[in-house]
Amino acid sequence: MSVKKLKDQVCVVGIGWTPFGELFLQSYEDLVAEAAHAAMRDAGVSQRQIDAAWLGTAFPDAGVYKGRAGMDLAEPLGLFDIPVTRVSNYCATAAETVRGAVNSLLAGESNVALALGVEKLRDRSPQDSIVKMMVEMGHPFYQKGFTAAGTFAMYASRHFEKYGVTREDLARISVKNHAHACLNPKAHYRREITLEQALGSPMVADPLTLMDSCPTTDGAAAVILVRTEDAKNFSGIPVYLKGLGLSVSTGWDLPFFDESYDLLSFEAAKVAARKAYQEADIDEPAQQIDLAEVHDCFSIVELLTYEDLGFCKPGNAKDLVGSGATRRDGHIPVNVSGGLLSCGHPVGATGIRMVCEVCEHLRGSAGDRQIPEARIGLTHNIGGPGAVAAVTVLGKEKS
Amino acid sequence: MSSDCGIHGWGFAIPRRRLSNQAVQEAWNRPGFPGSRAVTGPDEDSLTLGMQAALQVIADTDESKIEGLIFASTTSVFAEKSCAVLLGTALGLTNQTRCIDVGGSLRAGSIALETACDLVTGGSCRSVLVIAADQRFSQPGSPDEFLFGHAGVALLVGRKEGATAQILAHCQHASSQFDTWRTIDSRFPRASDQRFARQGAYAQPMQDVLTRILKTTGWQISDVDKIVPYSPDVKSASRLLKKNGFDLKRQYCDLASPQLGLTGAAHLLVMLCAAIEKSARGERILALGYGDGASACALQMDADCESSFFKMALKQGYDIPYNRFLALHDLLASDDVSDGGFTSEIMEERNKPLWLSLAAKRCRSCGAVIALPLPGCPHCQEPTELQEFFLSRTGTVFSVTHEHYYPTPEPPLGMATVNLDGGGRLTLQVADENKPLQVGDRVELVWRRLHKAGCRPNYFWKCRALAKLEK
Repeated sequence: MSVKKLKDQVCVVGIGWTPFGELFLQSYEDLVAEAAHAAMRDAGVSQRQIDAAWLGTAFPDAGVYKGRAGMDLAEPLGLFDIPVTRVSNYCATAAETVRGAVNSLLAGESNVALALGVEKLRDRSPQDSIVKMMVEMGHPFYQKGFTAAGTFAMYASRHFEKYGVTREDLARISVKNHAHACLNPKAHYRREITLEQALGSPMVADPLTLMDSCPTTDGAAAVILVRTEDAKNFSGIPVYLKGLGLSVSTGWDLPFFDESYDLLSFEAAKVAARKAYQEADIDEPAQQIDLAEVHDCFSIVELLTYEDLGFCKPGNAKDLVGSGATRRDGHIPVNVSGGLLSCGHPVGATGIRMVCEVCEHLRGSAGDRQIPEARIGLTHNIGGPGAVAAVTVLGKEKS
Repeated sequence: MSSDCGIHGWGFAIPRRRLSNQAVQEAWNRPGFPGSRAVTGPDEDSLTLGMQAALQVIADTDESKIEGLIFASTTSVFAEKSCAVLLGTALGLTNQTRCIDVGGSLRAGSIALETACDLVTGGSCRSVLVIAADQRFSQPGSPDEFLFGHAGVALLVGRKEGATAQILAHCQHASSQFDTWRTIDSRFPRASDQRFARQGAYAQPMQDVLTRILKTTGWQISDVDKIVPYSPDVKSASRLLKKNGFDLKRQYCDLASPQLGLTGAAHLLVMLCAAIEKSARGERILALGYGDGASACALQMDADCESSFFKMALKQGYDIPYNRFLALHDLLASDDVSDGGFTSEIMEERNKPLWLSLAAKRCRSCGAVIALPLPGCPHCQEPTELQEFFLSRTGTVFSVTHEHYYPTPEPPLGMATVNLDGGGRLTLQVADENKPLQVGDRVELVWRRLHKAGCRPNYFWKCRALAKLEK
């Protein structure tokens, strides 16, 4: 039996996300409530109408063990007596909540589904959250010594060696995304930086500097999804889900312990994109996609993602950055929101925050940072490091 | 190995102070089991215990025949200086006496006994004085606090003629596992997960030496009159014996543990000598030692035993309060030297081939070399057979970074992905990094300490720049 194509069968009718940042005065529960209520308001649904929900939190252990199960979404909302499922798939966690909701809608299990991602990292100091996790909780010797930055730095070193990528190429991505974020009131950092500042910032894991790395950030984001045939019953302007691909293509350790991996690209992203493109009838991504929110947890990841998503040929990403094509005014704007580098990366929320961003542009409600006449947008997440990826394609109109 | 020697005399040094388990239970308000432990006073240590036990043996021996002295302890007073030589000098042995210190293992006592047998059987020494003494402390409040006692024991091993007990055969099994250990800079022994340790580190080697010693002696289980096994807890030995069909009531002989606690390297020999004192001519005794493997020793009584040193020593005990015991030995300071977060002896045991011997796996079908403990080849869709593949210790840096935020004594911490000569890839910390490693650099693997999680050194491979010969 052939697999059913997703195309246009499900749409987003409500979006909501909290400002991202160091939200010292807000708890995990506060963030859940703020994002969920915003999305419900936007969709024009009452909580009683929601009949299934997904909660995405990648690292409950970084905080107070909130987000280990669906109950941590249900309780702060009083959203009881329906199925609520917590999912986790590293940085594709948020995309996984969307996938769960979509499949439930398509299977007829639910009619109005809530997908919500939240991460509360700043109850600890930045060095204590994800860095400390790798120090204290990792395998006693496999990859012992790595932080997340280090694992991606290995890919950067290969790009330097193989394609002549330079620190300037990486810094340009950071400069671009910081400039974009100045127009995004919900971004963690809203400050332009110069190329010199980026290059001169402290080294984290060479060749990656502090400015090549996303900050440690709190935040939540939510979407309300319904079947397209029901969209008319809701007040939110619908945005259509045209394609969704999620792939696990290696493990946490394998690329670092098996010489068949070239550390130049993420197979998972290529596979996820292929599936999403196929569903969405995308043949020439660079031409057909009007904006993309990609997973720039580190600048190198945005760079090599250009190649994984087919925006350019392998080895040409540095030229694409240099040409300015991925700036807000370029022909394929990437991370108009400011990306993870400036918005921050509350892991479980990021993928949904991207969906919200793309929806704003497709609805024409993105304010100062609006990409004119945006019709097709893409979101991309990669995680674990590079093992799992998710790509969604969203459209303004039904085809 | 069969032997031509026997035990001619023995002596005990049981500290007179006793700490009752009940006193400890009351202090920590938790359940335990009855019994007490012999504990040293403020002026006793493994050397004084050894001396005391040895003097008891020497008292009725012609010491000119003693041509060897072996001192066994895990708590030797000196890290540098021989206790065996010191004891030999003190006992008036000649300076031609072969003096050997054995340490580093709970099995040191039985290793000393076996070595003495070999020295006598091989004709190197007419007789050898074996001394074992230990003074191990446990962390106050820890679950193993009820376990450790202190004692010394000495045995005179000589030719079989005229011996009280003949040593017929002995064998050993060496295997390394992190079941229990004490690092050089800590006071308290640490132990891994108990059930894991009992299974792999205890049950397997003990079974192996038991099976082998029975084969060598030709004894049936029922031929054994007294079985004297070291048991790291109340149950392990009886479980092993039951499984092998021993009659616990008739054969299991442990006169020491409930009254003394486990006395470390001395314990098996204390139990053995106590058993000898209860045996009559012709009786067969099997002693099973444990620690970094196991050992077995088969003995047969050649005379009725008339002495009762052990019974006498037990009678001299008096209780001291728990707080005095803690104060006498300054036991309240923690010796926790842990760093590096999570570790697991269980996980390490499974990964032993790679972390000790660089044994990876190679897929018979596609040839991929995988340096991870995977059950199958991740590249073949079908289950395939993996064969052992030993990685080489040289290679080329494929990618490299330096972690500036990872806690390390000499930041930044180099991390390198290394493609090894002959196949395979590892990602490792960089050692001895004087000049930053770069992609393409040649490296060699070195076995180094990664961290001290779990209060013990955790070792793994690192890489460093390959030394080049200048032309």
